[in-house]
Amino acid sequence: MAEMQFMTHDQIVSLLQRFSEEGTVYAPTIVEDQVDFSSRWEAGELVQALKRGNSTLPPKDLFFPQTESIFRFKSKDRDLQIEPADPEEQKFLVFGVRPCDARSINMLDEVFGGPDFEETYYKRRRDNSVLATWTCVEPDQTCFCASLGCGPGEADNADIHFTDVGEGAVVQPKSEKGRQLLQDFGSFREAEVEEVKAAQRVVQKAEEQISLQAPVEGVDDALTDRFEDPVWGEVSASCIGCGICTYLCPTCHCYDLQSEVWGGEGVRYRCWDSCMFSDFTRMAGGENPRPTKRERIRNRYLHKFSYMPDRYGFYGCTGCGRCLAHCPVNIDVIEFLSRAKGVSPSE
Amino acid sequence: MDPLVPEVATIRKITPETASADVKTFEVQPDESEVFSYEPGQYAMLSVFGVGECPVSITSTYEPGAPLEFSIKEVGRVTGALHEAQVGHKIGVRGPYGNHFPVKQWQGRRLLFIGGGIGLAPLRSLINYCVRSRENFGELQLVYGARSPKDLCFKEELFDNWPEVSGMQVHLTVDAAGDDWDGEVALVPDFLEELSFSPDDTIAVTCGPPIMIRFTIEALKRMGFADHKIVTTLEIKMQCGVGNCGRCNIGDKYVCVDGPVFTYQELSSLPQEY
Repeated sequence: MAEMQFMTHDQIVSLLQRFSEEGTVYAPTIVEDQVDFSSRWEAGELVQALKRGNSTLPPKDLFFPQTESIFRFKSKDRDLQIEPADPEEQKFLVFGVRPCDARSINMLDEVFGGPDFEETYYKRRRDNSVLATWTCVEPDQTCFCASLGCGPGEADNADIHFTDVGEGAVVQPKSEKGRQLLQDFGSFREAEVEEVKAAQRVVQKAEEQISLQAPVEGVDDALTDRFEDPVWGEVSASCIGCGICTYLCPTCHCYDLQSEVWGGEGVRYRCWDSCMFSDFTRMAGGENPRPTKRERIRNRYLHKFSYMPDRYGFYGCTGCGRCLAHCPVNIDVIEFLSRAKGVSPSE
Repeated sequence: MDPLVPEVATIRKITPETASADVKTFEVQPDESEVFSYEPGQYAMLSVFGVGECPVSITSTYEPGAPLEFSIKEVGRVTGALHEAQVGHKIGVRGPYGNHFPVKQWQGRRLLFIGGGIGLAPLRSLINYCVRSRENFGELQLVYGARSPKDLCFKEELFDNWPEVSGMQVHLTVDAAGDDWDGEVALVPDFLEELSFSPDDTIAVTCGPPIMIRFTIEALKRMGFADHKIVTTLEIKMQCGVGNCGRCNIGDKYVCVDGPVFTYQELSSLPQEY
């Protein structure tokens, strides 16, 4: 507990403001009726924004933007030049990230930091940033992070973690970056024993509020065994292929490479793509290994709960509940996993 | 440099392979650097700037200083644009990507190559590798077929070079032919079974249209080939080549980095989604 600190809300705001002089701070911001991570966060509304449920969009796009240039090209006569896009070097701090979303960044680190090729764009943003997490005090009804060990209070891969205990927060630096942040910008004292205990109670209370449970234990084998099961046709029947589940998912990382050209110049850019779209796997000759919603939904669930465990050693789901909350036809991952395992959702 | 950024390369030579020129072989040389070193079975991503990028197997066999060769059938946007390109045009190349035929493990073995149509392109890299280090391999057999005599690729090698290699036999067939063909007229898997090869100490490597591969594998199994001695390459949509854009998975394998070369034994444990 030696490293537990205490900061008042005002001191937290002041830390963020001081960091802003050198870099960008992205923090939960109330925009109309939703919470987004924004660099235009309001000091006066920060505490209120943090008390709301999780952000509508995960902070994934701060590291893996929806669209980003990879290189520009210029052609004149028969000459052609390529200029790689230079990822911005600016330091940034993402503040108020929920433990579930922090865990998803950890997963993306594995995906983009693959052993064979050194990705530079995502990696540079990770290197230049500090991840500051916040215990989720108001879990949503669709949250099931506890089943996946991704929340509401744990954030092992954060640089620094905050737990709100009323007038301020108990602060726990978890990495060298986090310790440096406190040293450079913070104003704090060591947390009292009572404050640390209060923080533990906050986590416990949040855990108690999460009633939704996903039966993930052994689900990878259950899903693989049911590869040809009629359940896939049933689950996918109502899917309209809108892709919102992949758009809001903090662990989805699929992308496309596209070009734009004007005159003799152009840009190759990377943009999010979705396995829910029919042309995602369609080849130039017209063949498509996943031609209907049935194969696409099957692949999405298997990817999260069977293929990612096999490849990376973890489920590709943090239990953030966004797909559950926003699917326009109410496709329910928990109901589906329960059916796959042959148990009723409440068990 | 990010792996998604290609090198600029120049098309040095274009050779039509088929009578209708729907398959052309492009000789490509990077402008700023040496050709990367690669193994038979690997592929590269080719860019036509402003049009897009696609994976193409490397049909040449690595030799320091030699250009890259790609044999490309016109099927879509990028391959269509490549077919319109001329000598001197600039394209983008990045690679090499994917696994490769385990040629070191195959030393001393007999090899049976079975190709159909443009499927000979990745096999050609392997065959010429074996031909160049002929003493390291046993008997080489090639069974190759195309829709018609006009659609046979790499004719010079098929008719002039490979039949002259000691201990190598070339067996050609076409699906249909007129008076211009006095050779075999049969589908590749049928012709293969008619020729009947011994599975003893032999690796069978097959590339071609999916339907041909399916029936070829069945024929090979009837001939007694064990699953781990049947090797094929998979074709699937790829975009990044580096295992993170997400579209080329079959089960937990990404074809772009874990493939494109798989044994039938490996394929049997994957979902049938290819």
